[in-house]
Amino acid sequence: MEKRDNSSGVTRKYNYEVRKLDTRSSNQKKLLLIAFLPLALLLTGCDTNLPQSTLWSAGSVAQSQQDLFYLIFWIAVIIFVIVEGLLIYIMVRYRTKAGRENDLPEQTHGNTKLEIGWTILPVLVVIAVTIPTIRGIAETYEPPKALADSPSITVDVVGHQWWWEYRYLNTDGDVDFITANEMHIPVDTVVKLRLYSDDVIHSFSVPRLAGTRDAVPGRENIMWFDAKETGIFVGQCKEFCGDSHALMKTIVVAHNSGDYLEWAEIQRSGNENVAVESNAGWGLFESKGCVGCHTIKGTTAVGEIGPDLTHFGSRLTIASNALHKGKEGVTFTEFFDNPTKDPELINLKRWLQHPPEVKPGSLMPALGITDDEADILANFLENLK
Amino acid sequence: MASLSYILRRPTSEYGVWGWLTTVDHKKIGTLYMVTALFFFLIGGIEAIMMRAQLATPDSTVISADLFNQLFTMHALTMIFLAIMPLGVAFFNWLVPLQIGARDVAFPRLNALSYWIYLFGAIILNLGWFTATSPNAGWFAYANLTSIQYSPTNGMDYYVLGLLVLGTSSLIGAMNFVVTIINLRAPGMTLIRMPIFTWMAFITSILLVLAIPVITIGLIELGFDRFFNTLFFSSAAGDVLLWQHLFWVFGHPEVYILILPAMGMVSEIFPTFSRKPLFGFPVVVFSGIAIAFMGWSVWAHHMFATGMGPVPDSVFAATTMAIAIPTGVKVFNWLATIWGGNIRFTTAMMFALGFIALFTIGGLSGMTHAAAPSDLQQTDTYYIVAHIHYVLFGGSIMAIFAGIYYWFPKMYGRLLNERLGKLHFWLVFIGMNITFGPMHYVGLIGMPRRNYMYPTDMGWDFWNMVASGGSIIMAIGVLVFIHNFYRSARKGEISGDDPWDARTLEWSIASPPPHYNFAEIPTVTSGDAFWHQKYPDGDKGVPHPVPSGGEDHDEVHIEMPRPSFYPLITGIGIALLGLTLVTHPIVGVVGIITLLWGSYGWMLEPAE
Repeated sequence: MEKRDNSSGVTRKYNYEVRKLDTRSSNQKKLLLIAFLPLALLLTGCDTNLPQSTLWSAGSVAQSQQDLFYLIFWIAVIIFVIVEGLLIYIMVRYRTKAGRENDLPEQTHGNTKLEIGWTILPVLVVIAVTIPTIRGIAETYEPPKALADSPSITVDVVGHQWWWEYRYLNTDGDVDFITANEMHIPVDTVVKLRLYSDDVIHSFSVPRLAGTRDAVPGRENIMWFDAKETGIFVGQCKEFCGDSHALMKTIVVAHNSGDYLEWAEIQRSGNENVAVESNAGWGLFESKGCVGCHTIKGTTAVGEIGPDLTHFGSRLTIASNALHKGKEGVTFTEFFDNPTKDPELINLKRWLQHPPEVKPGSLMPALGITDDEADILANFLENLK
Repeated sequence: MASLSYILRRPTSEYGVWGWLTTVDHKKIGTLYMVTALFFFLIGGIEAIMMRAQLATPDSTVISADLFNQLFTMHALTMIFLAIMPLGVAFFNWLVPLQIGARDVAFPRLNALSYWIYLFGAIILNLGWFTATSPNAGWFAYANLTSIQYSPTNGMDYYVLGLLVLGTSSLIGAMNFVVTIINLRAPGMTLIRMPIFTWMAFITSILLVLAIPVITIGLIELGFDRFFNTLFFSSAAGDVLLWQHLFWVFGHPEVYILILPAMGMVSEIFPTFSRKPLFGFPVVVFSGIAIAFMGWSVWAHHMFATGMGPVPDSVFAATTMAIAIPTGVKVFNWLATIWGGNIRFTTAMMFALGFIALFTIGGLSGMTHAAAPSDLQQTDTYYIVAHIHYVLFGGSIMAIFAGIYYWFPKMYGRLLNERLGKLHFWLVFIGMNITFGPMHYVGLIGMPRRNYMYPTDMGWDFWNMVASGGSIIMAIGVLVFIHNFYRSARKGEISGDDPWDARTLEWSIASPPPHYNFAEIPTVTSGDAFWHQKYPDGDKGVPHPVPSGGEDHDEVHIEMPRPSFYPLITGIGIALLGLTLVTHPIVGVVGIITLLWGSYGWMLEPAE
């Protein structure tokens, strides 16, 4: 049970203490691991570095989903042990003995009392798991009453092949500002999402914060979550949506509320001063046709097919998290733990020069950008702070 | 008139290629089904191995995104529609007439037609491989990814047309078995005396008759959207979720179509190798019916993530949980059957016991995603992949292997090699747990399914490598089986008529059975009819020999249906019609002419 408590909304700092605790019992853990491998894995699933784990919740919704899973899981473990134990017992006890293969055992045809008994047993189990299930369902759509008075923000999520558009709403319900692929939120705040799709069905999921909800073309869906700790949470589209489905990823960055307000203020602003003739990057951005698909607020770039790039330089990832902005060879997990950007911008240049190679089926075509041009363009984009 | 009856004369060859092409014998058709389905089982396996090669390592580039999407789509379609379903039908064909004491199915030529349409449908579904444009939107083919705009290749056309043709085959076959089971049972075989496998075949056939029309509607609407620009599943004018409802109203009963025959097989095998009758026979039958009935009320549990709202979510969560009740009852009845028995560990029995062990795991993991909130985390992750493989591989395939080891002697008069069989069992049992067991964990730590590659350092690398390793072990196991099957069919130990001291009527006749099955139609006075012939003094009586294979009757007097060309010709006509929309109108014209030729020939064909 000790381990289950660890799984509840722990902060990153606190989590290190948890790990220390675990090393002390590591011998026992190893024994358990060998004896009951799958079970042991689930127990440890929450305290190792598993950025997309559904069993390492950092928000209320993920927490209640995780609690429900564990409730059913333990009931299932009991049934598993009973059934498989019986099976093994029967196989050992009633195996035939040499020379007695043709003996006839007692011919029992049935036993009404027993059969009624093992009909009622699953009925009870089913009732035991159905009640908490139904209680939890409403909370996957809207926050419970207990959170009705807590601060909230609303974000419209629009799925595209293969990236996420985030439209932040102000208190009047109008669009405040638009960003893409990286959702910033204040910690301990209810984040209400309305989900839409621009093309096919996508599914928004950031497992440490909340389970999936589909973005269905022609419909509006709702979900919500909150983050109990600051940090970067990773997620990805879960409904198969075409060639680059695997690369339609996202991150949610949870700040304390001061940092969030600062970030939001920047997002509201435009970046008009970049669009000057002396800026070679802007020249390329215009002449290569980038302006046709992308928006840089305050300039003549108002395309809406691709992600809004107004503050691209402040983001950590490229092309819906298909690549990160760290150095080559650094994994996503390492990069999000320690987001040091690559000054050479190698990943960004790779994306600019070979989009379909990075992201199969990408709507952004290869525009024949030379190495020099890529250098200028990448620096231009990275300076869109 | 003489010339007409010459043109329409029936073929007579019982042997050779023409014998197979024109056969209407349920046993030969069963063999055709089995061999074809095993072939596609291998194809589906190769597709799986290719995917595991790609996923063995992170950031892998063995296979492109597009090819990977075709592979996972075709793997599911192949395994479900071209392997497991027809393997079930192969057993229906072989066993239902033998178990009910009949000489053939009710409509022997329709039975042949059903096989040929299946074969042609399978070919149409696989045509895309020749142009590297197989269906690539998943076997579930969610609209509107399947529209011309988002799936411009021919892939989804093959999907629509292939499945429509295959559906025709299933429908014809299922109707045939419903009629056969209702009408052709031996005198005295009341429904409650009917063998349990035939019962499950009966229930499965009824499910098919009711489920296939639903997917047919969906496929026709999707076909119209793609070929004629209708807007059934357009997000602007139609409804993309309509497809999901149609698909899963079919798709969930389909799961029971895949598992009920398997349950029927193990329900025959446990009693034989425990030397005890099936415990609570009526309860096992009734829970089968209950599963089939309740299977219609759970489809939207595949759609919790679509945001149907709290009320539908709750209803479908509750109905889904409830289906655990009859399933649990069945498991307990099987355990009670072997409890107190005299258990012989033949390969067939080992596979059947493996079925209980693995299917239970699949059922239990099912509970965690019947709980809608919990499912929202698990849906579309490898946890679900693990679940369905424990149900379909650990359940259906293990039981089908059990069935093949058990009934092979009846089909070929020879035993499958037991030593190779046990090797096969252990390789598959261990391999399957190594492959699919870790997927539970990988899914719970967030790895989504249908991803052609995954980044490193997410905690997924090691277990993916393990799973890929396990798939190799399984593949070796299947190769051992194929070798065993091929070798034993020709050189296996002669089995005799009743090698297992079994209980049902198929074991009362020669192995392999004569063309006419029963020289004399038996009269049935109890369940487990053959057992009670052998042990007449009640259950504990002393066995006494029963003349098997019937007495020496003169075969000439038994009137059996003659072979016919027309099922094959009709089937070709239907296949050509199916191909019209992806080829040329002239193909359709030829198809209609062939179809008319086939069906008129069929009608006018003389009985002799």
